Amino acid sequence: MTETVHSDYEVSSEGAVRHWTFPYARFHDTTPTPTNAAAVNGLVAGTHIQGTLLSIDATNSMAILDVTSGMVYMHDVRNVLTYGAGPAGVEATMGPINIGDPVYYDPSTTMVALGIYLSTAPADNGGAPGANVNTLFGWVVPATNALAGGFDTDVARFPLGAALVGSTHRVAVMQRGAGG
Amino acid sequence: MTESVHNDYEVASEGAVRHWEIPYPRLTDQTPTPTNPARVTGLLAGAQLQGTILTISPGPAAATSFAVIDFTPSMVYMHDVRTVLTYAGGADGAEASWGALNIGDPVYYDNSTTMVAAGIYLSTAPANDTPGGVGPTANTLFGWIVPSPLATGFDTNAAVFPLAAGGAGNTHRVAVMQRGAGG
Repeated sequence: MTETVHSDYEVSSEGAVRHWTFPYARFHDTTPTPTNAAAVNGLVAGTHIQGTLLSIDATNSMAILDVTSGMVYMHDVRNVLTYGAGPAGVEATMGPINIGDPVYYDPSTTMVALGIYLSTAPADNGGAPGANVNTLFGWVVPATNALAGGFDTDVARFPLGAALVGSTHRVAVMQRGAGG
Repeated sequence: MTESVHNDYEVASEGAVRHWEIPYPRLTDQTPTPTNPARVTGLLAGAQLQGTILTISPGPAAATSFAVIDFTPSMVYMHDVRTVLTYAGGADGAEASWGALNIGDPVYYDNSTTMVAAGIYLSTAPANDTPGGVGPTANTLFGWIVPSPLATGFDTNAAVFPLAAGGAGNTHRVAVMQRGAGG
C-alpha cells in the first residue's frame, strides 16, 4: 500500500455527541421536521446514515441532524412487519411492539401518507416483499417519563399494539446513529 | 405529509455514555449478573441490542426486576470469550470447530446450550447451536477483541495473543470493545 499519514484527517471535534448539517436535497424526506427521524440518501440500501432532526434552516435548506450513537428520543413507530408486493404494497402483517425490538427508517408510501418514518418492517413496500431493505434505525427501550404512574419507567405499558391491526405508538428509541 | 413537532421528543441526556434500564423479561438471560454481557430480546435474530450489565435491581417479580446496562458504543470491558467457531447440525449441536483468539476478532452473543451450561455469553461463532431445535440461529455481533492495559511490563497485553483455540475449546478473558447501540 502507498497510504500516508493525513495532515488533515480530523474534521469533527472529540465529543460525546455528533450534530451535523445536511442539505435538504440529500434527505429521503426533503421537507424535514425537527424532532422527527431522518435518513440521508446513500448508494447502498440498508446502510444509510440516520438520526434525529434537531433544527432546520429553511432559508438555506439545511437541517441539523443528531447522529449520536446511543442517543434516545421519543419517536412514532408503526407496528407493520411486512408489506404486500409493490410498488405501493399494502401493510400485510403487524406485530406488537416490545422493548428491544429493532426499528427501521421505512420510506414506504403508506408510511409517508401517515407522516411516520419508523416501523418494525425490515423492508419497504416498493417491490417484491423483502426486496428493498430498510436501514436499521435503533431499538425500542423503556422511557423515563411519567407515563408509568409512579414507577420510574414506562415498561408496564409494553407490549404495544395488536398482532392483526396496524397501529402507531410513541416510544423511546435508542438510535444507532453513525455507529453502524 | 402530516408529521408534527413532538413536544416530548427527547429522553436521553447528552453524554458520552448510555446506561439504560431494561426489565428482566426482555433479556435473553433473565437472571442477569453484573459485569456480564446482556442481550435484549428483539424481533430479528442478528439485530439485537446488546451491552454490559452494570448493576441489577431484583424486584418481587420478574416484571419489576431491572438491570442497568451500558449500551455505549466502543466501551471496553473484560469478558470471557469461548473459542468455538461452529456447531454441529441439529438441535443443541455440539461444538464442532475452534479457532485461536486474536486482536480484532469479532465476538458474538451466543446463546447456545453449551454456552449457557458453561455460564459464558460470548464466542467467536456467528451462529448458535439451534437451542432446543428452535431457529433462527444467527448470533448478533457484540464487539471486537482489543488489547487491554497491563499492570506490569509492556503497556498492553498484546503479547499474549493469539490465545489458544484448544483441542476441545477454550475460554479466555479478554478485553472486548462493544458495539453497543452503535450498530
